[in-house]
Amino acid sequence: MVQDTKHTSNKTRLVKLTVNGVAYERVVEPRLTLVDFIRGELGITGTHVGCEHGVCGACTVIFDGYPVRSCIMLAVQAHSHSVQTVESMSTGDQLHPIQQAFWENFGLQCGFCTPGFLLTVQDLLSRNPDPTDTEIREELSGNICRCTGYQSIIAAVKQAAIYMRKEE
Amino acid sequence: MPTSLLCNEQIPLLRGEGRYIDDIEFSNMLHVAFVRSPYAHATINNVDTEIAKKQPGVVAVLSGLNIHSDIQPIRPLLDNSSFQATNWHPMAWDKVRYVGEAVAVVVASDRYLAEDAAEHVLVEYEPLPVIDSAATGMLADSARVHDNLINNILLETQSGLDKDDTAFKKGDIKVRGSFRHPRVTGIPIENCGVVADYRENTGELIVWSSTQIPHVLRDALCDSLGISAHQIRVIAPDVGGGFGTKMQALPEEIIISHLALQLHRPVKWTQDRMENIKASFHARDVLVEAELSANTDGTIVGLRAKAICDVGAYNSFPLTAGLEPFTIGSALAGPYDFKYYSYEGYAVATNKCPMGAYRGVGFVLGPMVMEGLLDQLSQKIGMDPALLRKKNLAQPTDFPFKSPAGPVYDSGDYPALLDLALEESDYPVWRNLQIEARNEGRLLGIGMSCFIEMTGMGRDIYRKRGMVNIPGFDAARLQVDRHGHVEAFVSTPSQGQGQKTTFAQLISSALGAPLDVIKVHLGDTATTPYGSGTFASRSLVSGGGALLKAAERLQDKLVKIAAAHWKVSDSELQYVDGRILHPSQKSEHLNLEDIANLAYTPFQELPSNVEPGLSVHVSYNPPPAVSSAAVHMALVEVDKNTYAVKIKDYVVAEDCGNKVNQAIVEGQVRGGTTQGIGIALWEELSYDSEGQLLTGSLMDYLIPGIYETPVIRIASMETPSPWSEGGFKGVGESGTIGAPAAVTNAILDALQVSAQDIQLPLTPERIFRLHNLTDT
Ligand code: FES
Ligand code: FES
Repeated sequence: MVQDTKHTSNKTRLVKLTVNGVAYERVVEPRLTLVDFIRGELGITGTHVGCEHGVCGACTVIFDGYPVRSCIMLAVQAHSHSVQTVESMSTGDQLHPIQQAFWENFGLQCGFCTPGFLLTVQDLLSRNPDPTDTEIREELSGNICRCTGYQSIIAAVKQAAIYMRKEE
Repeated sequence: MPTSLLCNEQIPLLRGEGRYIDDIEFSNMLHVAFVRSPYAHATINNVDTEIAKKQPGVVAVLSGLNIHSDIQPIRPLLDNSSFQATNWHPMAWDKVRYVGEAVAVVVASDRYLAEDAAEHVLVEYEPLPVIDSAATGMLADSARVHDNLINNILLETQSGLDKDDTAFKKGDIKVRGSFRHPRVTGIPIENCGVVADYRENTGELIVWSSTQIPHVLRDALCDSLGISAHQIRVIAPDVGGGFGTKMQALPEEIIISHLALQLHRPVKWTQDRMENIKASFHARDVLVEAELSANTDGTIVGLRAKAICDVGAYNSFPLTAGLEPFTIGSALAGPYDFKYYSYEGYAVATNKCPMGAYRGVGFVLGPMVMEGLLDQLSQKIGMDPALLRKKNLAQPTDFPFKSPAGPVYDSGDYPALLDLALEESDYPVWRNLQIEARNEGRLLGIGMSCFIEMTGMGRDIYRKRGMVNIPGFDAARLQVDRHGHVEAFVSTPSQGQGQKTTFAQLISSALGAPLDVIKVHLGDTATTPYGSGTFASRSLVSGGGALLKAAERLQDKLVKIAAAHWKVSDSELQYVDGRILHPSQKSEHLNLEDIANLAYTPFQELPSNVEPGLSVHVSYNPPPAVSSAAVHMALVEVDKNTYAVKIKDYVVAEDCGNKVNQAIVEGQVRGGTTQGIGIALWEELSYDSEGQLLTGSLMDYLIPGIYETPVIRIASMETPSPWSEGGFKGVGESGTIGAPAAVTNAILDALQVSAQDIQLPLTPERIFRLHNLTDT
């Protein structure tokens, strides 16, 4: 952990990090959660808050390559780390294959849980390019969707896996 | 099969570019935190805001004491002689009546600072006796939730009690049961939220809210704030699920609007999950005691039922406490035909969170009660449950069918639907699996649930129920610009149900216009015409119906313009597949763009009865109700050691009339069914005797995850409604209605018990107790 006490009073800390490849520097209170930092301080609002107690997974972001719940992490913990949010997935007009597969399979309705699912699936498929239904259920058991009943999400993940294997 | 067109409105959501309420930002925005009552029932002696006001970042601190005379209480009405109206002050000032009721609000530059300062608001309470259940509240000597009311019964309703019950008494067999539906809530993954901004230059208050009912919410704001509708614009931006929880006016919607008016700065409140669970809206909490009379051949003679609904502390706007007792009363007979029916229902005030709607409402009690009793009957007379049901279903020739419970159903083919479910599930194979399992000592059970849902209800139903605050109709405005591009504005907004796509499909086929020239607008009182909003599975029936009528009227106009242009009579012309053919010169035709151009150009003379331009507005009063139907079948295994339930297979046979988008319908059915499974197995808001909520987080209030949710197989048939535009019937709530009964019955079948006292959810502990019924 880089020690950096510049620009900080005894109540605030400097946080330097990259989000979606862009470097940011902000002075924040140590109690500020990572999700409030990303949404409120940086204005990157694709990451959603569904419970603020670590259950729903809507706030999932990729932290140094691992999915984490940004509602139960503090912004200061992200100092000198890198974070990826759903906004990092598509390039220009082109949806990421996982997004494309969710769209084509009706893997979302209201879309509020979706960013968390997409990033969790991205992590899953990076480790396991051809997951079984059971593996998908296990891996996504930390994300709650109240709209879809999940079946279309499972179909979307399988389709996404096919798209991504083809891309390679 | 209706086209499963993909939903373009989802693209921004996939990219993280949705604009939900919490994504709305203004540079000078203020944030709030509410101070909420820790007591279920108490007198407020004093609220001291002085220290709070001095905290960093604080702009204002208001309590119910300061504002109760400026803001009218929420006071929905019901035209019914037994109804007792309640005054719900958006912030309590003299008394609190449930844990979580707002008493003060802190406005600060930032949410963290607002929450800090809220800790410094000092409220002096004097606890009062707590009315902790409907049973307590109904006792003659019970303490009262509202001192000015004569008792705690906010509404009672009866039907058929005065009927001659000789036939009922004469039935060979009686089966009885008590069925307890837990107190539950919708848990949209996006909590509620409000942003309000008063624009001095225009004198307009803009209220963004995560609501299902923008127009009706505006009515509520007018009533409470004492300003007129034209000064308020309500916008529902992207909404992250509603499920009924977002169809009531929230006290916070009124307070935030008031603050924006007072402070002349934008104010935001984003509900957190704890607030959402304890203090937005709960649903159900119903006990139904019922008795079924039948003959030994399986013919149902009659049903008697009494429902007691714990409605919490206040009537919510617009439905009032009448919602559950009325709905249950009309739902219990379901798809069955029999002679005698009597019902009494009570809405009882308690010191709990007020009740609102949740997907399925009282219709869920229909199959819970009836299918439960039928399974008991089938055991008693030794008749297969499927056969027993078939024997009693209304026949396709019976329509329009007057249900013994009162309502008239438009159409359906219930025996064919049951057959479809039996076929899709391979029922005989399931029964064989069950025999094998039993031989191996495993607990495998089959449950079925046949039911109907009255959807898209029109003015007649709300008039009959006396629900004065619900308009009952919806509306659409359809306009074509001079290039033939179409815009539709519809009064039924989306919380994720894909209305923009469904409506675009409707317009495309009605006007023969390609989808890429059609744009649908929803959820803004300034642009969409006045209407009820999205609830009661009404979007397609009511909003879609209005849109179809608008398209029809537009077509008439297109024909008139073409006739004027060609100087022929309208009766010779027809608008088909996006164009009108010349009556004599076959090679000549006018398409939508051509006619649009004629409508807008001053060069085309128009007859005096044709307005220039191409825009129509239609308000549509849907039929009293159109009834969709479904049959659910569940195959479950109960673990002998842990009493955990595993759903091994699940089939839904559904009939929602004509469909527009098959995938959207299936999404509604699967999502709804999953919520129904949650009610059967996990979801319950419980309070202790002091009125403290014991299940205040998603760690205690368990909703279905991907791991527990089974694959749901769907088989469809379409019996178009002869009553609604387009032959549509609603389907949004169907899944939730059917699942609790199917899963419950499957569990009881697995245990081979005939339980008379069913209390959902069937947690392992409750299943253990039920199982031990067999042994004793
Ligand atoms: S918001 Fe972080 S897990 Fe729910
Ligand atoms: S799509 Fe609405 S919560 Fe998942």
